[in-house]
Amino acid sequence: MIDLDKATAPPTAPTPPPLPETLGRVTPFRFDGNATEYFGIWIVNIMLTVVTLGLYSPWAKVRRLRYFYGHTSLAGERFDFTGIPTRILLGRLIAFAIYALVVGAAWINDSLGLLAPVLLLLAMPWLLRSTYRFNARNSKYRNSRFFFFGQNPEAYKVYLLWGVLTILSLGLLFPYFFWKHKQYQFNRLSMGQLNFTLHASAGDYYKAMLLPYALVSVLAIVGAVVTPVMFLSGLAALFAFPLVVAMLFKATWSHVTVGESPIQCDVNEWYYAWILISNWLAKAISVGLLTPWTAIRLHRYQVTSLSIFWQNDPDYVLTLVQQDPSAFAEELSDIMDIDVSL
Amino acid sequence: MNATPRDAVSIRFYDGQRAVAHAAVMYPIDGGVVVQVHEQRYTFLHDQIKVLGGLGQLMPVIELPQEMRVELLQRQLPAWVQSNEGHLQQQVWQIERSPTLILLSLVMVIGVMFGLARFGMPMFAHYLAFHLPADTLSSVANQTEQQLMEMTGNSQLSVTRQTQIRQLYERYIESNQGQRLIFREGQMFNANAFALPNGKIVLTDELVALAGNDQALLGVLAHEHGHLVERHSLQQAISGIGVSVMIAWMTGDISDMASGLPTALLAMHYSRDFEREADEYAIKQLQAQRVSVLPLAEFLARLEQRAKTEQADDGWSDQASAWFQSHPATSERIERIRQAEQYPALAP
Repeated sequence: MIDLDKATAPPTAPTPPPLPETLGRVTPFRFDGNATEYFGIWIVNIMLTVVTLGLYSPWAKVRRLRYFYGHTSLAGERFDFTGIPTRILLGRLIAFAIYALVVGAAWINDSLGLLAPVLLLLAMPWLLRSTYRFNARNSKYRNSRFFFFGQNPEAYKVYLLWGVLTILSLGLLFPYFFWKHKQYQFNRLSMGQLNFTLHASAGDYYKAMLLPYALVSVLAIVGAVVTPVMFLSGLAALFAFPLVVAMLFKATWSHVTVGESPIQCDVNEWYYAWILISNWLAKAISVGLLTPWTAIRLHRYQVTSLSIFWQNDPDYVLTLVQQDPSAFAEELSDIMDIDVSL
Repeated sequence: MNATPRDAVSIRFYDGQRAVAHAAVMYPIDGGVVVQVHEQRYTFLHDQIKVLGGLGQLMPVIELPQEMRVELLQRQLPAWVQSNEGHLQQQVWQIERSPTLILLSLVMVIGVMFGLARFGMPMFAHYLAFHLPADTLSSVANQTEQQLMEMTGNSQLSVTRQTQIRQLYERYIESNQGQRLIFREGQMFNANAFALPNGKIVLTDELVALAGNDQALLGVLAHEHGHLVERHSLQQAISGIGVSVMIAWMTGDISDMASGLPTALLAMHYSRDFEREADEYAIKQLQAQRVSVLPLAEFLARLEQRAKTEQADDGWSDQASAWFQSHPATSERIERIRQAEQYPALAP
């Protein structure tokens, strides 16, 4: 019987240590996907989803994520996404059943219907934490899994407590809340045995969110005084939100270290904002057909703006063995239309 | 029979301990596969392996117990790797790289989307509209009514004439519901009529003047009443939301604001079908009351003629044909109404 010699114990004999050539060097992130290739994947995903009446969508999701992960590389090695579609499908079916129950309850009794959003809100921190866990453990670099070790009590403190305080502050605390959220996301994340750390301060986030709007206000006031500049202030108003998105990206990624190695981010906020705006225009004009092109364009710009200054040798990153957390929580937030991918 | 290492393929192998790939080979044996790295051999049963098929420029990958991993260096997944899902994924990979099949997928997707938007969604909207409460859109309609009031002026029609038209409506279309009618001076809307989903029908003075006679006016009223009875506003709202959701679901872009555009384009189609339906309703209603539909057809023909000459005159249609523009009176529609004529014209 083959049973006896299956999965032999891992080797103890050390392989000759490779030269730590990456140590002390800056290596950029690279992306070698392209829009033409991704268009095929995208349209076949849609076609198979339609043909199977939606049952294919978990496979489509995994293929989409795998394409972006797998064509992103660092120091010549690719990332990968290994989520199992059948588990995502199961999660989706359970989520759909819960959703149907909630709608049914609302149909029978109005107060039950009012209770549902409250329950969902109370479940949000748990859902977010589960989503981070699922995404992290299914992300790999050099066969080394990412791991999210944030716990539920902290998730409730960050999202429920600070969320409520933010509402009570009429939004004044929002950048602070966002900072807490990013801290929870990064400071509880590791790749192999290397922990991520976010060094950004709350002030960085206040700056990222307020500066674009301050700029727009100034231009609007100037525009009100000098009429020809009216056009300029309109243009700036259009840029304000994408600019916030771009500045948040920069605020976060310029202040992250993996182990001892800092990540560097040389993104240009204005160009980033321009990509967001022109992507939206391209999608609108092409009735969605340029969606693959816009996705590749944004991802490539984000990824290639990043690099790592290696202070740890990635060759010695340990591979951690973990158990399979359920895909369910992630899918529940998926069907409820909550975007957690900031 | 044990296969010989003749079948062996070169691979990159991760041992699950360190983030370093080793050059290795993999070959089949009875009931499983063997990975050989230098002198070290690992054996795996078929049900212990999980294949991730190729994708884009990525070669097939095999994930193994204890975090071990095999990356193939070739496009083919050897037939002796027993994984149905793996081989299926390989086939999907082929489809994704074939220009012919990509084009076919594109045509199929556009076809299905068009079919759903053109036929599926209207059917669904029709079904749902009649299973929702009649006042679903009331609050929205009240807002629209408010805006309409602000954008139009007080009617210059005499109270006598207004009462006359209300009586016409009550006698031939719906008894005791004359209060549905709201008379306004159209101003920027000019000759126009609106059926609001809160059950109100707004008629502009300009339209009353343009209709010329009561029979034509009755036709217009019956047509607008048709929109109300068939719940066209609600159907249109459902279709609009439905198409957005459908596009979002298929392109995986829930937050996609661009989906509003196709909705607007498709809305034009719906309204054409709705006009035809409202015409049919008007024909049925008037004929049941033994009223001629010819004056309505003539009125539409007059509008069409007018719009044509105006467009020829200054390349820009006059506001007088506003009702015509929002109610495209194709010759087809006029013909259909004329053919339906069975009864003599209403005595003046």
